[in-house]
Amino acid sequence: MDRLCDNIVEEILCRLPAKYLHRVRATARRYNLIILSPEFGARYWESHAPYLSGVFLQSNRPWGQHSRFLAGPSDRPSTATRSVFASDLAFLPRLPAGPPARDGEIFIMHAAAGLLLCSRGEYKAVQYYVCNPVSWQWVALPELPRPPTHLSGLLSVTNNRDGSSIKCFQVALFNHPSGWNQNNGCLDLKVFSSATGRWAAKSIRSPTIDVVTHAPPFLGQSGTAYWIGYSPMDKLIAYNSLNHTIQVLPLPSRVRDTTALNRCVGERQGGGLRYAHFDFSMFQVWDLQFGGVNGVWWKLVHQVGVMELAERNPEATALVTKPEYVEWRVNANSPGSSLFSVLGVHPTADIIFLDVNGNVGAYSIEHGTIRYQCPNQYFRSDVFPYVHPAHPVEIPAITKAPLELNRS
Amino acid sequence: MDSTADPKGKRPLYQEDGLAYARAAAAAASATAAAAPDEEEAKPKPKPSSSSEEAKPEPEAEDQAEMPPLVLVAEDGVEVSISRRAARMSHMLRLLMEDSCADGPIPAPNVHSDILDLVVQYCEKHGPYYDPEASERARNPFPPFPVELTPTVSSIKPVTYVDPDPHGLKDWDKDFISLDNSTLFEVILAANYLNIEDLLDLGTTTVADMMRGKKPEEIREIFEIENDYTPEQEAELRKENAWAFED
Repeated sequence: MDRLCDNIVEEILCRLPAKYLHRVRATARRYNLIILSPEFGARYWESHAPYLSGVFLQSNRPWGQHSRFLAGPSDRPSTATRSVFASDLAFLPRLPAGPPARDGEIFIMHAAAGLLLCSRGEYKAVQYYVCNPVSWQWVALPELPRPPTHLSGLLSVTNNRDGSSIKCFQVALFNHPSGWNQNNGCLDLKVFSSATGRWAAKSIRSPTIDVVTHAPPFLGQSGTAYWIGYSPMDKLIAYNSLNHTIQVLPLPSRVRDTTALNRCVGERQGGGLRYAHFDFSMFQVWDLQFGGVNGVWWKLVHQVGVMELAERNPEATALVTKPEYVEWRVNANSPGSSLFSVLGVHPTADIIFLDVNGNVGAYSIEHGTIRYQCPNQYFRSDVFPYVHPAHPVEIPAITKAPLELNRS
Repeated sequence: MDSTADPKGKRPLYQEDGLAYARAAAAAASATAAAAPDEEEAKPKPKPSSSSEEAKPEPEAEDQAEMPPLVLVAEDGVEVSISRRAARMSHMLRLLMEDSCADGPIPAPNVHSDILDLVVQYCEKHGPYYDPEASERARNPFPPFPVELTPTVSSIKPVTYVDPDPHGLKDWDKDFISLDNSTLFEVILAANYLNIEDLLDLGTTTVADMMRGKKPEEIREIFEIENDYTPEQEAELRKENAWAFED
């Protein structure tokens, strides 16, 4: 191995996640120098960073959970990135082999700043992990004494003063807005901060929201959760877990909104909210702008007719036998029978992820074409936008909480 | 298939022309036919029939006259011939072919003939399916609309599962690359010299796979790396990123 020139050694090291790079550093001085050199660092991130922005798609299926990473523009990352990026999270500890119970599997709850928040088990999870799938580092949060009733969690990070590394992270588990304004209901939180190393419970009275919604939230990387309203349909509830504020934002209205479905919202990298929906015969994409009379307004950034979308992508309509059925299926009202449904928004590229007749496709706004990603025959799919920055991201150490006094 | 094949090896992909295959070109290569059998006997490993055919010039399916195979000269002077189709995989050889400098023997210093045989074996196997434009298409997958939907141009894939490895090359690669370490490193060096991206990729990924999951001591043992740290320095390194050394 010592015979190989530095260039080839760097090429080999580009295929290792940071965890094993540190181990190679400890073998001999030469490799320590190579790995610490800025040229290698630049080469490493240059080869990986373009593929590391996209969404994690997590699907529920009765026989086990399944998550994959969709990068959108390049659905075939280089072999080097495939060696490094563990999108299947196989490096997290698994329970010993047994019948695959959903309680033992790892579920993704949120992604922010290149890190993922995962829970062991989908419901009633007491064990949570924060991990980095590029460096393969993970930390386990202290176990909760009781399974919480909350199903959603948000991860948010605070950067150091110079912005280059993470000072501390915070995990907030919260309940659904349907429970906020009920009798004696409020926003129940369980918050963990790496600075304190402890879970804390909080209850916040939420302002009266006249919006009914049952949908699961769309989670943004800024630590904000968005629920699209069901009745009235043109409202969006936004909860920010960093400063615990609740806001109600307006949404673009729809011409024929007999159902409140087939819509999605997503945060873009660097701020900015994007909303996409199918509105009878049109597919529209809107961006949130600040200013104007009410402080916020939506700008239409893209619009295409649904029939045109079907024409450009003939494979999608291949299964529909008669041409007159195409329009019917494209505009079908119930979920599942509609030919196109919108899944999520790509954080960096101008791509919207659609479910096209049982398969996930990435729709490029610029080109107007859909690129196939993977099959999606599941009951429900959650989309987590994920972007790993072009530099190492280390999970800050969790402060050890002082030991409780033993009561004898 | 397409008679207006682009000489640079662009699409459509190489197709065997039955008639051209039957014609054995008499031109050149009689010298290689003499040299090639010597080193073939010297080789310990059995080779697939495609490379033993290299003794005869491999007919090309280009519409130009059949091109004789290239001749590479290893460091020990042994000549190894490689068909033009397989030579496309090497960026260096491709440039030489385009500049028409590839008619004489091409020196490959620092590469032993056994290693050169292995490399040529890889290229011959992958040559027929090699598409130099594939990586470019992957980088820019959204063609501007409207698009002519000829099969090779379209990157709008059908909305069904497409087999990523239609020719069964992955298994062949796995068997091919199971070599001892020193041979593996020599193959990587040769692929680096000849600028064969796919083989370099395969080799380096294999080495990285060997490193993954191992402790530093194990890595040192496998790759015969000498430890030039003092115990204190090593302990310091381990403490610095303790999480990386846990399992």
